[in-house]
Amino acid sequence: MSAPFEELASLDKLVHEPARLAILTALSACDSADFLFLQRLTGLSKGNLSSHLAKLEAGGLVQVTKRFIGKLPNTSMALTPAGRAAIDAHWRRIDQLREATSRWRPE
Amino acid sequence: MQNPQRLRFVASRYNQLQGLTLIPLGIATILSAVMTRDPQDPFPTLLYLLLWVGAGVAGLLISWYYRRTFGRVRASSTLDRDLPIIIAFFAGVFVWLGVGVGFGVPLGVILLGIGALCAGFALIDARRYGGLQPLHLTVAVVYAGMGLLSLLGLLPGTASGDATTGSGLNWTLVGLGLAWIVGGILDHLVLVRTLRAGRVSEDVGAV
Repeated sequence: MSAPFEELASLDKLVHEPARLAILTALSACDSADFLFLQRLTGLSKGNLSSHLAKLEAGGLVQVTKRFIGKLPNTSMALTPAGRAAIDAHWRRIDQLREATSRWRPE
Repeated sequence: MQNPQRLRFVASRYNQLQGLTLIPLGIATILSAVMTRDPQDPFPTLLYLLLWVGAGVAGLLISWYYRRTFGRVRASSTLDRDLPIIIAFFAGVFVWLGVGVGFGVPLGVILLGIGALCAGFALIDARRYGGLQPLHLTVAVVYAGMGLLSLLGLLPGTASGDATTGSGLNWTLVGLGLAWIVGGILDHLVLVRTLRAGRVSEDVGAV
């Protein structure tokens, strides 16, 4: 079995990137959230957040819905079933690896 | 990246953490309690109506502020999980009030009991959602504090210990209003510590 550090280095980068991990984690706790909320939560610029959301959407993890509320545009994001499974599995893996690294001793 | 548990807590409880919406309600509750002190001079119905309508309008405006400043979240439905606990909590409060009034338990003890029930609810809620919502704990602390003050004879008009007197009911309402104001402010602080507020124009979240 490979050392847990090698597994840490090979985590899915689409999910594990800090900003995207924050986005997916927040979306896993609700049905959907709009662009403004995610921007406030992550502190990212609009362009940066848009870029991350585009990657998540292209990866099939997030569904983006654009609509108008009154006359104001609103973009909301929700996890797809694949996205929800991916983030849940990712955090479980992180917990397992954390435990494994805490028990690891050099040979 | 922020603590993931905090992210999940704020995202799942975003609508409940909009604590400033409770302030008008808290003020209206306290004013209602204070204004009924003199039974010989009941507060005009129209002014009561204006007070509560005003509180409602203020609450709606504050909700609009949250949407414009921090965005919108559609929370997952947890009613099936939360309903049994909510029913158990209110059943506990009603039973305790019934026992207290029926057996002439001093108001201070009744208030302490309500505080304990609220504290229990707060802790159960914290375990389920991975974070303590300050409002719940504030309600518990306020009622427990009022209970202690009453038992020490420091709560005016409650020395007789009769929970059904006007003073007893008014202090209960004052406590509730105070808890909503203080707890609402604390909830808001939890929210703004996690979300970064600032001036943002209309959603241009083109993806």
